Amino acid sequence: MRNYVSMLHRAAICLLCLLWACQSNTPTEPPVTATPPDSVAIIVNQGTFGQDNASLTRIDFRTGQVVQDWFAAANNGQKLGATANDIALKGDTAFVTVTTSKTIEAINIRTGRSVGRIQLTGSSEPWRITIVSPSLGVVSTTNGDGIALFNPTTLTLTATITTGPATEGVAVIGNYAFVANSGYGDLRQGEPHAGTIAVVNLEKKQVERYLAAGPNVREVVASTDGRRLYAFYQHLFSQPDSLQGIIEYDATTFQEVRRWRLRCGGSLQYYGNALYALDYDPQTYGAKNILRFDLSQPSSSPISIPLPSDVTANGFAINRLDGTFLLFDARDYQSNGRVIVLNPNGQRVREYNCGVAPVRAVVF
Amino acid sequence: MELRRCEQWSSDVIAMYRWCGQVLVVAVATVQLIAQREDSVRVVFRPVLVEDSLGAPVVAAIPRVELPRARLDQLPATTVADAAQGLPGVFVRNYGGLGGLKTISIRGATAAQTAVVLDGIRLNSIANGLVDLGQIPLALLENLTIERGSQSARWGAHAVGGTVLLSLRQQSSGVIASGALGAFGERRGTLQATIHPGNHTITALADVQYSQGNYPFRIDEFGVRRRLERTNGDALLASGALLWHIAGMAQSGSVAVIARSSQRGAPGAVLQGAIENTAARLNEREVLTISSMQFGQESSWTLRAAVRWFQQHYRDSLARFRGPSGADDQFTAYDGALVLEMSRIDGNNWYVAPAAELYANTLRGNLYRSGAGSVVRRVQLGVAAQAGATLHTTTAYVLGLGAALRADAYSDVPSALSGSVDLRWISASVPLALRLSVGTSYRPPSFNELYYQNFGSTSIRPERGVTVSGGAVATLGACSLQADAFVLWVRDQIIAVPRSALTWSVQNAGRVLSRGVELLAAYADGGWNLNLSGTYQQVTYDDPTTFTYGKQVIYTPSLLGMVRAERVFWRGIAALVQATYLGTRYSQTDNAPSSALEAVLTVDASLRALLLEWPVEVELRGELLNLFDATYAIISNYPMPGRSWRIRLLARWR
Repeated sequence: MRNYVSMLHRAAICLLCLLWACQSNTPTEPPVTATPPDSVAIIVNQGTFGQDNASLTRIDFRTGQVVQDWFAAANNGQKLGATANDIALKGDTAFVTVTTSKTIEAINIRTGRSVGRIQLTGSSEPWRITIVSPSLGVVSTTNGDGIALFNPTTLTLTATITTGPATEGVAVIGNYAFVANSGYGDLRQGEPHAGTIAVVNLEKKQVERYLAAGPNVREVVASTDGRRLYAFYQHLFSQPDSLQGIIEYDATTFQEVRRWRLRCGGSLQYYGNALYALDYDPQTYGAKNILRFDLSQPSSSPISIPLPSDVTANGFAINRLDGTFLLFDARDYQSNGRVIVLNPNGQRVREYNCGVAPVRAVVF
Repeated sequence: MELRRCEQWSSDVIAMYRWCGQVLVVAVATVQLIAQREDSVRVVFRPVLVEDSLGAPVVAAIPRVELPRARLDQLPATTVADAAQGLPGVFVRNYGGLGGLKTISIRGATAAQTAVVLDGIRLNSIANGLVDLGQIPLALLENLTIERGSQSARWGAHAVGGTVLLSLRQQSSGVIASGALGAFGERRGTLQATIHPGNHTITALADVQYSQGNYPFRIDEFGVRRRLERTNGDALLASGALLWHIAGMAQSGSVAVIARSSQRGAPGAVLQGAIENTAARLNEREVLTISSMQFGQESSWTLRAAVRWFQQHYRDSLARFRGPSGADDQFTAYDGALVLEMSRIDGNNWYVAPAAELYANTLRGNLYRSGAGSVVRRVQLGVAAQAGATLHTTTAYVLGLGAALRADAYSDVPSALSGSVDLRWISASVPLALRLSVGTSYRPPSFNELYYQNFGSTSIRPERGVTVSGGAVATLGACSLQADAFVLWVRDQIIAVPRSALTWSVQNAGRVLSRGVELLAAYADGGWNLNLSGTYQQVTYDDPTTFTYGKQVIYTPSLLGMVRAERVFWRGIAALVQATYLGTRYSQTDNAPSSALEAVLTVDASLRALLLEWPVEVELRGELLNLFDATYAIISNYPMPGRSWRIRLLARWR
């Protein structure tokens, strides 16, 4: 009996050794999910300026699994870079703008592995990005005072177009790219075309006209049907009492349709024939609500969706799969932040930790 | 006509004198104290007391370390920042290289919460509250003293964590010339000459330092370790001083004119293998005049006057966020100070010493908010008094009490009231003393914090601090020891908060609690000179409503230490080895492990030899810095130099 037990022990040990020996030596890879839609979010964390700590956080909403610094985990510790600001999808590739590093990182959204990098040069620092087609991507180059066109399939730059001082937001409708020339608030407001939206003919690769907006115009979004363009302009920091607001343009005639002059902040979103923006307090720089503008009404006042009080909102995204908000809590901008999931009424559903200063996301 | 002109001129002169008289009367009427008065409790310990406190063989009310000229000469240091490294409670924030910003943080306070005082005049910049201590060459100084504790009642604004006290060179006859060569293109030269015509002493001094600053360092570039060379790190610093001192029977006085110029690159952080700001240049020019006069019966009054002109010009053609031609920012500061001190009024076992000060600052720049205009001004009037008393004296001990009170009124920010109380127990039988002090402090917002475009806010309030400190001073044979514990609370700390990736704004959002212990031990005997200093501190965020509550404040190491051993051999040969330890610190407020900067130990060594004693004293010195080539950064992404060397030759004609 004792020999039998001993044999069993030996067999068990051998089996364990065999299992251990068969184990792969390759580092643990981030989980690969099934085909979309699988309710996964990739969060872009800006990092702190000059700290080289921009990162991506991958959240699987079904399992609750969170992978911090996903890009580094999937690429042998390689850092994403300094100050990431935007993300856009083309198929199973995400394009992340890393502003201070002057790179557009192309990443496989299943594995997190880098599939290539577009390196910008000079003063061209990529800011907002949009993918128009398999052969055309547009990125605003904030210190390059323009936009860069690139081929997202070949990962090559194809053109640069100067549009105006301090380009920030960019949206594409048809053959036109609309580029916000913010002028960085007070810093460059005296320069030509500061506070305007440049209308760029992508075929001719030139600016066709400028739309008057307002001081420090920072963001532009297009309606899903391509008929309307919305722009957010911010007050000048030197004049915190000045008004700011949102402008609606007819994207075909380029005429201003209406304007909401109110206290609101960035993170402009278009979803379901409604416009969303952060309610913004110019004194405390904090946002207490998400404002929802019902665009089906000719003169609509926004509805306030209250935010949790313990949040420093650095932006939000709308999960188009279920209509929830992903609120980006930057805390004090010098710590790892949080992604707080809110239902459409603003009630907290759950939250996830992420990197420093989360700012944008894609959900698929 | 001529007569009328003469009369007009006379009446103008009379009016001017009348006005000056009125100002003086107002100043006298608002007499106060600035605390460079002598202590009432002076018990002289044996000279071996605390080697680094040479020259201060008294029990100070608050912890202080004094480095006199003789000590400064022995250190492998060329700037104030170098010399202060490793002292108790002191953390030098260094961005690397000769031209990199170097500031001092005391007891976990910020650099702007450290007052820097040169011959009784505060030097903290009105623009940002800082003093770049890498720009002050040691050759200019006779003495460097660092006091720890909230002492605004003594030194006024900025003295929250502590105070750096600098004294200009004093008369030493003859000529001193020195030159140095070092790694990374370092070149230095100093010339000093002093003459004594009658009861006058005139000293002229010039100091020039240059470095290419192109030291190598290792970085992680997109996941690959690589060796890079620092670029745009060159720096040329030139300083000159003319010091005139007259000593009379009834009155004495001095005038110092200091001129400084620096031209340097301002390289930024190293990000993914790229050095930011490769085209950024920073030029500074400064002329500072400090005059001092003692007058009245037995020189009972001291009047100090200072005028400073400071110009800073920053250019970066690649900073395109500022415009197509980049950044081209310039500001000019005009500062004036008038400090009136009265020698103390002594009574039976007590004294009181009043003083008053008037500071006026004007700053002209191109980056201030449109509402503020291109010129901003501040006037500050301070009134203070310091008092002391011997409470109890027996054959066994002396018990002394000190107190100071000060009120400061500002033209543009809220006023401040500061006070301090200290108690000292000094044994008369054994060389032991105990001290306990409580002090309050404040720091007014700088002009940048108030008015800077896209950054400043006029609603910012002054920062306030309170320190409680207690300790002991003792000697035992050739050993001396200082041990102190402290607690420092700071509220309304001004912090910059990003509003976007590129724009930041200031807020009174911080509360910080700092507490710790400091140790300073020294041994000097038989040609040996040993020093040991250490600081253990917990500097944490102290607002319980925030998630960072209890977390270590960014860039404040918990552990700091320094060991220095010096041995004087025969015939003027001496060797010095110094090890400096810098504990782990964080670059993120939540102390995320990924933001930790590893602890580092650096070792410096020097060997000096007296080659010739007469008629000219010639000394040769070799220095090896960072002997073991430690790879480190004090500030994240600003790498420090690896191993480097310096050879110095010094000649003195007595």
